[in-house]
Amino acid sequence: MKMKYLGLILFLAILVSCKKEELPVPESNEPVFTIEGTIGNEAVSLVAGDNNAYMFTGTFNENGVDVFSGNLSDGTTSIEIGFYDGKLDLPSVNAEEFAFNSLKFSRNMHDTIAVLSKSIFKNYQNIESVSWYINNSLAGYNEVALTEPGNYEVCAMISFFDGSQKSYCNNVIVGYDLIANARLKHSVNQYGQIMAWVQYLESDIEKVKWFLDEVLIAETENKEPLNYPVDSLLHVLRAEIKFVNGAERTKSVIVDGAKHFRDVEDLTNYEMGSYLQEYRDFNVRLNITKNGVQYSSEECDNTTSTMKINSVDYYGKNQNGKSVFKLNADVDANVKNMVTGTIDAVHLNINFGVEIP
Amino acid sequence: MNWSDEDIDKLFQESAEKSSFEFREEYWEEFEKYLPVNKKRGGVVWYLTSFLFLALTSGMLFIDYGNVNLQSSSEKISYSSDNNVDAQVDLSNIETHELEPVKLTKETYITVKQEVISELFDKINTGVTVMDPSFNIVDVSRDNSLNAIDENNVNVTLDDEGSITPEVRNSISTLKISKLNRELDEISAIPVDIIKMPLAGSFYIELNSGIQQSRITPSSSCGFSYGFGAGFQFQKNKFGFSAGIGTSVIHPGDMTLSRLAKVYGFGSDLYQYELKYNRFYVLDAQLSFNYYLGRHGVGATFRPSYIYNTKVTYSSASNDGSEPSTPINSSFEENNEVRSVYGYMDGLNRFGLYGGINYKIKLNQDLEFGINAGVQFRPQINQAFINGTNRVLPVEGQLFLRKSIHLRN
Repeated sequence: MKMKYLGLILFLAILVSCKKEELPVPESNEPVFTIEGTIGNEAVSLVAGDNNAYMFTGTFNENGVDVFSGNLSDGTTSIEIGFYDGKLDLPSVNAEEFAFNSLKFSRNMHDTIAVLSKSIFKNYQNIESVSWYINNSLAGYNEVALTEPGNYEVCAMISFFDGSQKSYCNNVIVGYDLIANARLKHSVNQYGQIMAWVQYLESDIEKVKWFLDEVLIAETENKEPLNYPVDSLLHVLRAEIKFVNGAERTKSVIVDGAKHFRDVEDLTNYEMGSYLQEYRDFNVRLNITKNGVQYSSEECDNTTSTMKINSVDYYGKNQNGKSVFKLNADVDANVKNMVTGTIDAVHLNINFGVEIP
Repeated sequence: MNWSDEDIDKLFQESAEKSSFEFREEYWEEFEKYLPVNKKRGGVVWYLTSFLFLALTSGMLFIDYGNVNLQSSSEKISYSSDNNVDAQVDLSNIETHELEPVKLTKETYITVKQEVISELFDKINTGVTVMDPSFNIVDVSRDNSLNAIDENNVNVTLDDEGSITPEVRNSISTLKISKLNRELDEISAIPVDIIKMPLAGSFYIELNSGIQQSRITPSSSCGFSYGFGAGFQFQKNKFGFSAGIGTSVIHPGDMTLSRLAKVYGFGSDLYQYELKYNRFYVLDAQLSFNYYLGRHGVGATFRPSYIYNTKVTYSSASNDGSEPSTPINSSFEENNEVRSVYGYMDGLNRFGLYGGINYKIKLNQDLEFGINAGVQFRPQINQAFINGTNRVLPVEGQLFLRKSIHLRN
């Protein structure tokens, strides 16, 4: 009798323990990315997923600076919101920089913010000419003006009066706040030894890697100077500097081993001498295309405009596999009609996606 | 021999002073040899023993295990003989009753107020019917040479003239034959082992199958089901009650749910899918109340149920919601998926309640066949999901075959 009951129980247990598959039945949900508001006197409403509207996200690199962008577009109307990267001397950006802060709008002044000139070099009288390359493109000779904030890879091909030539490169960051900076100083003594050190400006140094003509020759800590033998040729000495606050910079100089006054300092002076009063770190820009007409917030005054971010949440990965954050924000700004030149007020409530790697 | 009232009184008084006999296992072993292998039951026997079973099990209400006690109220035996001797015998506190053989005619009978005992003794010309421990009827041929044994046994004897001299065992409602000695032609009866239960009960197992109206309307198709169950049943007088659990598989027939889902993200994806419910797997409680008229019973049945699993055929199609180079359209591309899965419960109300009437007939002592007819009171389909409308009180019918499993000590 007991076996009968046991058999019955086992059978029932087997019956109820049949493998249950999960059915991939999706449920309808509410729209995720939306824009509601007005542009000038016209109402605008975009819902990603309705009427062919789609939320595009990506990161653009403009003048060496990442712009974290989202663009909600249905093909006729598109609204792009971009956030400039900031603290460029830090290795990575924190998305929380955007959270719960009133952001400033960026502005294109179209004015010179820095001039790359051979006359600033200490030994300029021995320099015949300088060919300036910006981001691997020839930008000019002897004097080149920078008009946009950016993180520029500046290379200079220097021709000396004695016929010698040497090129070297430096990162020049203009228009952005630097949390740490330094100058690379050097000299060559009578024994043919380089003495080099990093003159820090805003933050203590943690360590420095020294490269001579792209060959690692030493690593020093803190403010420890470099002592290294050098021959009587022209050399490029590069220092990769890591600061205590986490910033990282690279500085290069030309070393004249023959001591013929052909040393060329780094380009830190151009960073320090920038004319720009406002930094572009984490600024926001608004670009609208409506019925073929473009509007831009960077071409007009948005000093008093606001973009109040109410929430920042991680959403997921886009098709490029990059992280996308969903922002809920209220935007009150001005945009310039690039055709007519008129200024229109924009009032928007946005649920927007922005790629932030 | 003529019995006087004093004789009969004296007989019972003497018997009451004697102790009850002691059952020995050897009695039963010896008796088993004489049990017939094949027991034929005629129609009359069937009804007789059915009623006897009900009566005896009812009597179990008043009997404790292992003890043989008299009822507090006196039980009278009266009999008459050719001599028209009427004697009222008080069975109170009397263990055994020994009666000297009397000549009895066919009209002679022994009756007691405990009616079951009278059923054991048929009239003289038909012999004596007794029951073995399995409550099977044992035909004992009348034998003129049967004699009384001793005071500890109930003896059934026949005299040369075919009269029957009963010795009634007090306070028992059934008799168990422990020894049949052909040579001595004696039948000894001992107290039956009393099953310690208040009511006549048994376990049962059941097989069932049924058909049912579609749960949704309009629909002309029917579903069918099959399953099994087990439980307990008992009966008091003519009323029976059973309770058990069971499981069944229901093939609903035409239950198809379709849904369109729009999932928003960077764009939107449209999903269209259809679910065809192929099977429901149900656990239910089986509760029924019946009134019996002989073999036939009618009553009401209730079955609360719970759907614990399903098998569905799932087919889906979706458009490609990836970043478009051309605008998203709503037509579906070639992206169909069809498969069968278990466990999907959307669109169902898992709890159900069935109520109806039933009729059953006892095929034999252990086997019943019956039919249920009723309705589902609780809609099992979530209205928001179905293609159609919930049918109000869909009708179900079911046939069942139930086998009883009696308890043994």
